[in-house]
Order: sequence, then structure tokens, then C-alpha cells
Amino acid sequence: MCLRDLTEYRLNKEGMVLTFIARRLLGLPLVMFGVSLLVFGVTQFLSPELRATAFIRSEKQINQIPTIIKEYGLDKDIFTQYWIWLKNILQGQLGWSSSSGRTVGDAISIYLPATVELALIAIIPIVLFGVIFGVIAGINRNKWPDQVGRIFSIVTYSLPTFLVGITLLAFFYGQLHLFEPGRLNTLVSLDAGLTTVDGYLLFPLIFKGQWFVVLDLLKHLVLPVITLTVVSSGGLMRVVRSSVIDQLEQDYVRTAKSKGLEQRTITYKHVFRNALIPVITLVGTLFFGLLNGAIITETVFNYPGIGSFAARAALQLDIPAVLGFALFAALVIAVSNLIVDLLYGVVDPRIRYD
Amino acid sequence: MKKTLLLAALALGATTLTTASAQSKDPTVLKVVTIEGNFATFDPAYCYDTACSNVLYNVLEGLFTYDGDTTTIVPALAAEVPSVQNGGISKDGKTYTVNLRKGVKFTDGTPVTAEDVKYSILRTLIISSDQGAAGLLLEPFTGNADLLAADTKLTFEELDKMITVKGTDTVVFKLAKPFGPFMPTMVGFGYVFSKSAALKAGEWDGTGKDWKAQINKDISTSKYTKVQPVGTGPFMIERNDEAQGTLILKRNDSYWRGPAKLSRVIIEGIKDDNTRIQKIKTGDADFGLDGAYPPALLASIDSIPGVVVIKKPALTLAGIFMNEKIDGKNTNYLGSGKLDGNGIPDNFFSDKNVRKAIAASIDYDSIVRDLLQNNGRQQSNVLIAGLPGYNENAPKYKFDKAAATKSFKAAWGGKVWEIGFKFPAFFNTGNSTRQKLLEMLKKNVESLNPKFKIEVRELPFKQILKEAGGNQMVMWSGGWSADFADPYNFAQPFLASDGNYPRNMNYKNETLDKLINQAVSESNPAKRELLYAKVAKMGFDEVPFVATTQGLSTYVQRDWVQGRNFNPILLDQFYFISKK
Repeated sequence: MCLRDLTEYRLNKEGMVLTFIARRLLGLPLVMFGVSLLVFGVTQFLSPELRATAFIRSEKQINQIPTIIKEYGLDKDIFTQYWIWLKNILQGQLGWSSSSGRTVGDAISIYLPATVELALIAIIPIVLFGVIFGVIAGINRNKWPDQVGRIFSIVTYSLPTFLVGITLLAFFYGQLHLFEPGRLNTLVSLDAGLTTVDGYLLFPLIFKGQWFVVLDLLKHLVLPVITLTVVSSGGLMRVVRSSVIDQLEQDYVRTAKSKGLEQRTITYKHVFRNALIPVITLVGTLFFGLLNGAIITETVFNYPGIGSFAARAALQLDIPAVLGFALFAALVIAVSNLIVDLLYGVVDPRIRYD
Repeated sequence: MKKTLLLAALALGATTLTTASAQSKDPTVLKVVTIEGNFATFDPAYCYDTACSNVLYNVLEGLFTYDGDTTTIVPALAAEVPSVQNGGISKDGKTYTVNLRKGVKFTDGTPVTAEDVKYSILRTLIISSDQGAAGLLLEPFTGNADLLAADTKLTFEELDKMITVKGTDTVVFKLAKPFGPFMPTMVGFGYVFSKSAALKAGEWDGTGKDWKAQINKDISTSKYTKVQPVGTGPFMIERNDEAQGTLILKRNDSYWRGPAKLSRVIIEGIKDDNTRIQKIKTGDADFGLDGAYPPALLASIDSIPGVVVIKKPALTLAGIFMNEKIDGKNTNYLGSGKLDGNGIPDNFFSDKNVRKAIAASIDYDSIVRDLLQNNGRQQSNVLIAGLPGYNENAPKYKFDKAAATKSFKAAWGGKVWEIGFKFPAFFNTGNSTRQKLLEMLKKNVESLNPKFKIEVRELPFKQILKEAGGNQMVMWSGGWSADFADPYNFAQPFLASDGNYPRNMNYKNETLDKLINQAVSESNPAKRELLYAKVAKMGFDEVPFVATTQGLSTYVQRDWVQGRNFNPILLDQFYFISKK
């Protein structure tokens, strides 16, 4: 390929990437519209009376239900209700979340930061464990490291999150008085003069140099991160192992070997990179799954993330919050798929966007 | 539920391995755990649940309060408790004149005036939120508990005249009828806060201008959803970590009774039972609010070194409710809809014999011993322990299969016994006590006659509420906790035609209505007690519902906590608490 051809190829590829991104972004509102229709439609299976109970706090208020139905227009036809809701959404109003006592937008914005911090920290050991032990198992196929890794991954993959969580909590916190549940010790936060512990904390605190608070924050993350690593890295390890084995059987590996390339170079320069392609999807899914809330982990460790918010909203039939969360989750998934697709291209230049 | 208990047992197992008791940390900071740390509101006009009430009782005060853990009314912001003898209550029982305690100031330093008292109460009456407790306050003033609506016939002037002020220190309440529980209602819901601070915050201006716009205005428009009104209480909200579900109260150093011993109270919401157990075990929590620990785990929690479990009678009453005119539309609850062994007619429970038979088929001793593990006692009527006029020797339903058989044989002219029936009985998901109670009832009833069939079914709590409100429920297990310590708060919802349960059960008894009205209007306490005794006896004889048990409140705490009051209405009053 001459220089002119190469430049043309690159320009074409860049153009294709931009078109691909634009096309996917343009499709995003459509996806969200579809999700909103679906979720809204599902909520309409609940009678107006049942939806009205979200607004009452005690069975003593049971006879207020007809008034509440009228007040919130819950007895209007589905199209009118959807139209009202959609109009509000288009004006940036996701509605009032009765389960959290604030607007849905506010609720997402105060619960999301804790989850983002947990996801960012947790994804590191999950990927390190999954990839390192997956590669070791793959290149040692059917030898003892592979057998041990296989047992480990199957056991951890099958372990229920709540069991891992409460066992860790009972031992480390209950017995050793280490790693308190929650996000931050209240007294530490008061000593640090924090006016709120809602929102992003880790990076602002690092930026301000409030190291004793950072340390406390990290201590609170230890058990949730270990739990997520234990339950999530096993699956990743299996995928990495299979992918490595698959790559080791490819013709190019044989060719490289016959050319006299060292096994280490073959493994880490060629096999590893190619084996990463399917892993990207899984890591992307894991990470963005964590962003949508690790409900059980957050509940066991009293960690104030978006998962606990969504679970409470669903249990309390808080329809605006459920709808708002569904839209948020759809957005996260759509964007994450886009990012994963783009990363494919980075890792594997053969992938085309047309 | 079983899973939760198993896991909690695991956690407790690990817990009891430790022999050394944890030490009290931070002697002036009280750390409290509860299940739900998110507060729907701090606005007295909207607050009705236990969570927000527990906060408001510590940051605001009313004219009256209860003395310690009793239900004896003593003055708070009032100089004295009004009575006919001291001239505070008019002879006809319709006018209450209350003088304010001198020198009391809000936390912003401004003095408490009669105008503040008027504004605070009137605002709740006018907002009339369907999510709050305004109905309870409206009843003495307007004569009924109906909330105000936009088309109310009442004028602002009429409402305004219900509460008037004399000078800065005297407030006069004019009631529509003599109302015995007026002061207990004021203890529970008559929070006083600063009018000037409310106006500054952008709340209602207290005048008739646009007053109708206040009626049932959306909770999201309240300025007190996230912050408290400025009050006089021993504590103030310092910080509300909404996402974490943690609320921090700090001491009001200029509190009129003197500053509290605690400098701070941290209320932390923890949803997982196991996590709450670990918190109390490590000493990171000093105590749990009432109900923070499931009854099934209390015996094990009690065995943790340094942790104590205290039980006190709660003003609650559980019962089994039977609908006398079931709306069978959109459900399959009536089966065939006939008395043919495959269903029931919609008015099946309107025959008192059926209800009596159900009452005689419940094994009350087993409920108390096995289901409640002695965390409760049998009560057969609305006059429960802790209320004035309670009679321990009042008649109680007895588990008596012979009596149940006799009543079933007499029901519907003998057809019930001859043909049999089939109907569902409901409990709310997750409530294993109610589930087992109904399963015991089913077993006992079905053992009387093979043609009798009861299906125990579960539904989400809100579904039961919804269906009971729509008169669709057939039989269900439920319960009530007091809003204020007066027999009226049980007689009315359980037995009056316009009460919660009778409305859902389509039960109407004019004699009972008359007696309840007479009792609530009677200002002589001795006479009231006699009237309520009659109400309770009639409620017992007529069996519109089957009262089963009165619960016990369970308080879990570390042994270093001192001075904790166990008031059934005012919940935890942090002012009296200290740590060793």
C-alpha cells in the first residue's frame, strides 16, 4: 500500500467511525423511547389503586386512595398518562420519587456517584484477577494451574453474592472490627468538616488532600470490592481461558513458533492481544452492569448506590423512579455498547464500521 | 424470609464466638440504627410515618407531651395542662384556653408566641394533605375527620376563628364538639414551629389570600421536605446524608429545659438485618429504634455480650377482618359465589355465627407462645393495655372447637355446616406471623368439617390495602398502631361505621356509632371510661372483626445506654438519654 492509499484508507476509516458513532447516537433516543414505552406499558398492568398506594405511608391512609388517584391522574387512559409523562421528560422533569422524597433526577444524581466510585475501584481487581488467572489457566491447559483455576472459577461463579457478602461482613467487621459497612464513617466526615457525604467523594477528597477521609472511604470499599471480585472474576477468568486456548490453536501461533519466536513473545505479544477481543465485551458489560447498581452488594454493605435506590423504588411501587431508572439503565447500556464496539476497532484493526 | 433468618443466624453464630464486650465509643454521641433512613419529609403537615415522627418529636415540640414512658399528659410549651378546674377547658368542653410557658425561644433565638402556635396548627389543617395526619387534627375542629378539598364549604374566616390568640402568650382552640382526645391528638400532631422562619422560607403566609391553593398541595412544594421547621426541641437536624440514609442531630444548647447530655445523635438506616446485628454487636450502634430487629432474632441478639433486649407493651392491636359485603368483581375470591362448597356468597360474613365460629377457631395461646414467642398478649377488644379504662378481666375469645362447631351449625340456617364453603384468607408478603396465624386458623376450621376449605394466600402489602379499600378482600390479617393514647383511636377505626376497618368490611352498627360518639364527646374521664367499656363489650359480642393480640415493642440496645424512655407514642426521646 503506498502512502496515498494509506492516508485514504485512514481517512475513510475515520469517516466510517464518525458515521458509525453518529448513527448509533441518533438511534439512542429511539432506543430510549422504546424502553420508556415498554416500561410504561408494563406499569399500566398495575391498577390505578395499586399505583396510588405508592403515595401512602400507612394502612391508616387507605381511604385516601380515591383522592390520590384523582390528584395524580392515575385513572386517565394510558395514552394521556404517557403523554403527560413524556412531556415532562422532554422538559427535563423525570417526576417525583415518593420512595426517596425528591425528584427522580435528583435521586439518580445523589445515588449514582457512590456506585461510580465502587464500579471504578471494583473493576480493577475483577479484571486483574480474571485476566491474569485466565491467561495462566489458558497457557497451562489441563495442567494443575488450570485445574485449580477451573475449580476456583466455578466455585466463585456459583457463589451467591449475599453469602459472600455477609460472610465477609461477619468475619472482618463482626469479629475483627475492621471495614465498617456504609460509605464513610459519619464522625470522620464531621471531623473533616464535610457538609454532605452525598455525591462524588473520592477524587474531590484526593484533590483536597484530605487523606484521612480518603483512607476511611477506601476502607469502606474493601469488603464490597472483595465481594464483587469474588463473584465476578470467575466468569471473566473462564472467558479469558477459553479465548487464550482458542488463540493458541490458531495458525499464526504455529507459524510464529516455526519461525522460532519465543513462547513468551507469542503469548504476550500476539495471543494475549487477540484473546482480549471477546474479553472487552465482558469487561464492558461487567463495568456498566456495576454502574447500574450492584443491588445485593450495596444492600449487604449498606452502600448508598443506585442499586439500592432502584430496589427500594421497585418494592415501593414508586413508578416515576422505576421509569427514570429504566431510562438511565437503557442509556448506560446503549452507551456502553457503543464504547465496546468502538474499542473492538482499537484492539482489532480488521473490524470495519460500515 | 427464611433465607434472611438463616443468614442472620449465620451472622449471629459468628457473632457469639466473640467473648469480649465492645466498649462504648464516643460517650456523648448516640448512634442509632433503624431500617429505613430515608425520610419522606420533615414537614409536620405531611409527616405520618414512624420514621419522620421520631425525628420531629426530638426537634419540635407541642403544647403538651407525655410524662416519661407513661401516657400522662404534662405541659411542654404550655404553662399548664388545661382542665375544667383551672378554667383551661370550658364547661361545655368545646373551648380550650392554653397559656404559653414564659421565656421559651426557638432555635433561631426568637420567642415562641401564640401566633406561632396558631400558624403551625392551622397550616396543617389547611394543607390537609392526604399523605399526612391532618384528618386527626381536623376532627375536633370541624366535627369530622374529612380532609379539606378544593371545593370545601368552609371559609378561611371560619377556619381562622377555630384557633385564636389573646396577646402573645395565650391561644384559644374552639372545637366543633367536645372531644375527649383533643389533648392526646395535640401531643401526637400539634407540632409548633416559628411562623416568621416559615414565611422567610417561602411557606404559606398565614392569611386568607390564596389559602385554597394550600389545600392538599403536592409534598414536593413543601419547604420542609429536606429541612426541619425552626422549632424549640432539644435537638436540631445538623446534616441529612440522604443517599447514605443517615441523619445527624445536634444538641440545641439553649434548650429551655437545659441542654441534653448527648451532643449528637446519628440515626443510620440499614436495610439488611445482618448488617444491623453486626453494628450493635461491635458497639458501632448504641441502639436500634423500635422494630429495628426482627422478633425471631431477638433471643439470639439477647445473647450477645453487652447487648440487652427490652420489651414494653405497644399500643397496637392485630386482628382478623371479615368483609360482610364483598365486591367480587375482577377477582376469583368468591369462587362459585354461592354457598355450594366451592365458594361463598358475597355476604357470607354478615351472619354473626360465621364470625363467632372464626373467633372460636383461633388458638390464641399458641399465637402468643409459638408465633410471637411471648412478644405479645391476647386482646379481644379495642380497649387494650395502656389505654385509660383497660380491664384485664374483660372477656376474651377462647379457642373452643365445640363452640366453633355450634356456631358454624347455626350459620346460614344450618347450610354452612351441611354444604361447606371455600374462601381465601390473605396475609401480606413477608409477614410470617400473619401467615402462620392464618394457617393455624385454616387447620382448625378444616378439622371441624371436611367440607370447609380456607386457602391461605399472600399478596403484597399494598395490594391488600388496595383491595381492602375497594371492598374486595374476603378475610385478611392486619393490625393497627396508635396515633395517640386514647381509646377513641382504637374504637373509631375498628368499630365506627366511618372507621378504617368497618369501611373496608362494610360493617355498620348504629348503636356502636352512637356509643363511640357519646364517648368521644364526654369530658368526664370516669364516664368516658364507662362508655368505652360498653363499646369494647359490644365490639366483643358483635365480632365485626376478631381481635387477636396486642404486641410488645422490642428495644435492642447496648448496656451502656441510660435513661431511655419507652413511650409508646413519642418513641425515642433522645433528650433523656446518656451513655455510661
